[in-house]
Amino acid sequence: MDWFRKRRESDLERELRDHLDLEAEEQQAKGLTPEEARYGARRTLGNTALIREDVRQAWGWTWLERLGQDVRHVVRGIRRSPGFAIVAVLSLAIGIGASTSVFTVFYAMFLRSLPVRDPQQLRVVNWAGGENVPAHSISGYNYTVNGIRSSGSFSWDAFQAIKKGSTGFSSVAGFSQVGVNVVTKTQAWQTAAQLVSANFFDVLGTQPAVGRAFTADADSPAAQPTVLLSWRMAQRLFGGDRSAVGSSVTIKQVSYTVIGVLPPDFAGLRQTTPADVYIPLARAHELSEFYRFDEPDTWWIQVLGRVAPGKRDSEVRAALDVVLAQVAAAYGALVKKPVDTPKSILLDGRAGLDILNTDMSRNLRVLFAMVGLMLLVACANVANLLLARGGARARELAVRLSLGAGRMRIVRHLLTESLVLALAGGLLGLLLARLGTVLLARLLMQADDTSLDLKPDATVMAFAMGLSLVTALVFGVLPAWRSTGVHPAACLRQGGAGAGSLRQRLAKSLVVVQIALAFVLVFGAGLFARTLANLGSVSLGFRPDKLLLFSVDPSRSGYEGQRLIDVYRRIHDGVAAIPGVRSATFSSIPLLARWMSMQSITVPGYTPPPRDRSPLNVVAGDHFLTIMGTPILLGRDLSASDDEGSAKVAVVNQTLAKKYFTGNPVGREFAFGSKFTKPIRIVGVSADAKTHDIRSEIDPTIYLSYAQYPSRLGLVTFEVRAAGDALSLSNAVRRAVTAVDPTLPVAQIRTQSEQINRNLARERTFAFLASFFSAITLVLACIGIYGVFAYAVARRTSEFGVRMAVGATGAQVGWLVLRGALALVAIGMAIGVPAALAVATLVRARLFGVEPADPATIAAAVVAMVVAAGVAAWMPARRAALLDPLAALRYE
Amino acid sequence: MTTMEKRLELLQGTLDMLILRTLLFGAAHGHAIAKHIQVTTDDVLQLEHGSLYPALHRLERRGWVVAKWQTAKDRNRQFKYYRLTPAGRKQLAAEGSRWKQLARAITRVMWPAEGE
Repeated sequence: MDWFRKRRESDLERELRDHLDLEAEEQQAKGLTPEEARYGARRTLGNTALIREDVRQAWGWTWLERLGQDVRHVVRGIRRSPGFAIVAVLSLAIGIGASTSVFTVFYAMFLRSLPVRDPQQLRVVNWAGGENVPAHSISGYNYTVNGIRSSGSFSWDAFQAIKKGSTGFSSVAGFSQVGVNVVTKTQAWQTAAQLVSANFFDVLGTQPAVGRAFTADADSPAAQPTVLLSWRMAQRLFGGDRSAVGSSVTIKQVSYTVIGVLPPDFAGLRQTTPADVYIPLARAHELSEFYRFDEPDTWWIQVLGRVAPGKRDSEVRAALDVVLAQVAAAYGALVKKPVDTPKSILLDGRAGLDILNTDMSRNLRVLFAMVGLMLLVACANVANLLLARGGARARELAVRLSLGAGRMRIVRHLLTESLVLALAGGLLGLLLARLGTVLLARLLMQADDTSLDLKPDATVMAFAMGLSLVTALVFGVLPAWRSTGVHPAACLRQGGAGAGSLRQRLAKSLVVVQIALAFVLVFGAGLFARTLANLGSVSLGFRPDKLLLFSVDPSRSGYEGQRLIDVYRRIHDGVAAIPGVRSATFSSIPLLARWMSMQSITVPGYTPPPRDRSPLNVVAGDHFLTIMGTPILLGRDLSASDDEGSAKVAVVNQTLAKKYFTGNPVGREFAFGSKFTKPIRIVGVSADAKTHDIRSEIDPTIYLSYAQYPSRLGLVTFEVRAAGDALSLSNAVRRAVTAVDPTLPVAQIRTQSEQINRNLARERTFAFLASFFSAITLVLACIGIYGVFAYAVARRTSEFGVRMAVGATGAQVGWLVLRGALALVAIGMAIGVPAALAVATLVRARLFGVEPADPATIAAAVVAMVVAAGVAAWMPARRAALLDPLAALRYE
Repeated sequence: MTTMEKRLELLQGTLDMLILRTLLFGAAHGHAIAKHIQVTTDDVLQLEHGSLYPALHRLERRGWVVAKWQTAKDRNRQFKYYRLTPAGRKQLAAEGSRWKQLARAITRVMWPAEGE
């Protein structure tokens, strides 16, 4: 810009000199002396300084120069009243920061492409079909809605058919999940592994950072066992990626060679729950007996494909449907039964498979709504501040307008001010978002385990800056237009109060909007807080205090049958012997971790209604219920005598007893499955206790003895009741397990209370954030109320003086002001209450023990709003009440 | 003194039109434009050369003329030449007809007999 100006100046200089030269030449030709000619030329041209000034005027200002001018002006103005700028920028920063935090998590989880080649070509194949799709056991997700089953798992045959068929995929890979114990000479880790076909990384479009990917021969069960490790697992096990390659790890008694380490930013298809070990799919059956290559009705492989360039999804689906029909028909022919043909579904794989986490997506949407409301209140607040400032600057603007400044020019200037404030708020908001994102991820996922990359990238920055621009328009346009819509002469005459009453009305409308929006948030916060409180006071049916949990899975290290039972017993005995441990037991599921196992039963004399819900079962150690603090109401608890050799027994809960039996069920029998074979005798009835989820009603539940059902065991959770602080036992517990077998990893050490907190992560997040956001919106609304009434009191000083002079008391005048504020609150509520009720019905599914239209919560929110508004209006009211009538009358 | 009395002050707003009209003959630099206006009006119009330059730069900004440094034909020296743009041509036509209307109207009021 400077260069441009200088160039233009020197051009003009030269142009004028040329003119003088030419004119002088001409005059000289007429016979004047050079001296006289020069002088004459100067005279005809006129005052060059003045000419240059006029020319510069003609150049005008470029928009860039004008913007620079405006910005300088704005910064000067802000420096003069920093309080205004601080409040404005801070409220915007909190609003933009919170929105950006929610966006960052949402974007990282659902929108951002995986760090792989051409992610837009990736598809994950799912299927949907009737009840008779020949998938009799499914691993992976699987749900039935209105008789339509859908799943993402395929049988080995189906996978092979898709892979070999011409489906419009340029390449197809298979994968599946399995939990493993990864053991080196010095360490043992329990972790998630991904079983992958040899071409998986090729299809996905990524390469190991160090070493190599699998070669085609890894698809053969006879190949040398090889694995790839995630970056962080390589760090954990070997302290680095290079030393990892070539080392070996033991998984279920087989030694695998580490051939490569994946890049640090690679977290697979499910970034929130990443796998740490990648094992060839060909070894699946060694790691889980469920993963069978020879059973066409066991569906356990997920399918990832890369769409060939130019192929449409509809073409691929049509081709896949043909392949799946052939697979189903082949099975139907085998078993000589009619089968349903599954139809294919293609999921967009570009952002990974976290898109399947619809619950999280809904949670984030609720949070988006909350931060959006808060941002709106912040905008209204800043708009109000700007209006008030416009009032204070009315005289300045009137002078400028009457001196001939165009309205647009001044509007532009005022909008520049909004823009500067918004961008400052946006930048500060980005900084806040870095903290907010981490906090939000921790609250929502409660996981130290997520590999979600939450660093802000260009998209996040663009979001924050775009949001800043939009907010600048939202809060800036109205005050700017309003402030310049004054009649300069009238304004100057009335000493700057010209448009006062209109501005006051506008300011009051904004405050009403703030109150209404704040009410929605305060009410929401109340509902979520009550939900959390209700969940916290739910009777669990067991004592969660001083209980340490840890998980261990000897089956992943090759223990089976009697050896498995023995190793559980030895671990139990070792842990129980630790000083400070009162008692220890274990169970096939950790309590309140949303794990459950269901199986139908047959009870003589009980006819199940159609679509009867099966009871839950928990396989547990000796005296499980007693140790957990669940009372045995009839009969006895499971004990050491219920072992391999003795008759099969069970303890059932009260709900089961009531549902399936009349009278005392102790001594009576049931059987698993639909036929009454292998009967199990009930030896006790326990009180009801929650098993998988605090929110759910207690299901009929069966407790079985571990020694009688080793095949149902693998990963178990030990529950250790401590005499004192439970967590302080962590190291002793690890040592006790290592003493039994050093290759057995201990995982997920936490207390039962922590486990419950994790179960309530969503409610805790909502309650915490909604309270936080509503507190901020309340403060913002209060600032708005205070501003409006402080200004009103200043304007009406002389009126109040007259009132007091004719006999009104200070209290009456003060009440006048308070009443004005309460009137605004009343209007705000009139809008806010129905809005809040409408919004609340949308989050019904996220509430517990409280109706969306809970009257007590409405009442509490109303009281909170009235009190807050009263406090905000108190100071102006007090000022009005304490006016000295004489001074007030002399005011102005 | 006497010559000064004979000269007329240029009417506000007409300078732009005169410049554009002058450029109709082809590109010219500032001094040549000034000389041309002076000569064609037989020195009647009092044209302060200095007022030419703000006018030229204003016309340039409006896009009615473009300027370029070019070597003069008769000497080995570069001058800033102004050239009429198509927009400038249109502007000239518009202003010319406006001016003609104005002059005719004034004439009819002042000297009714001479009017058409």
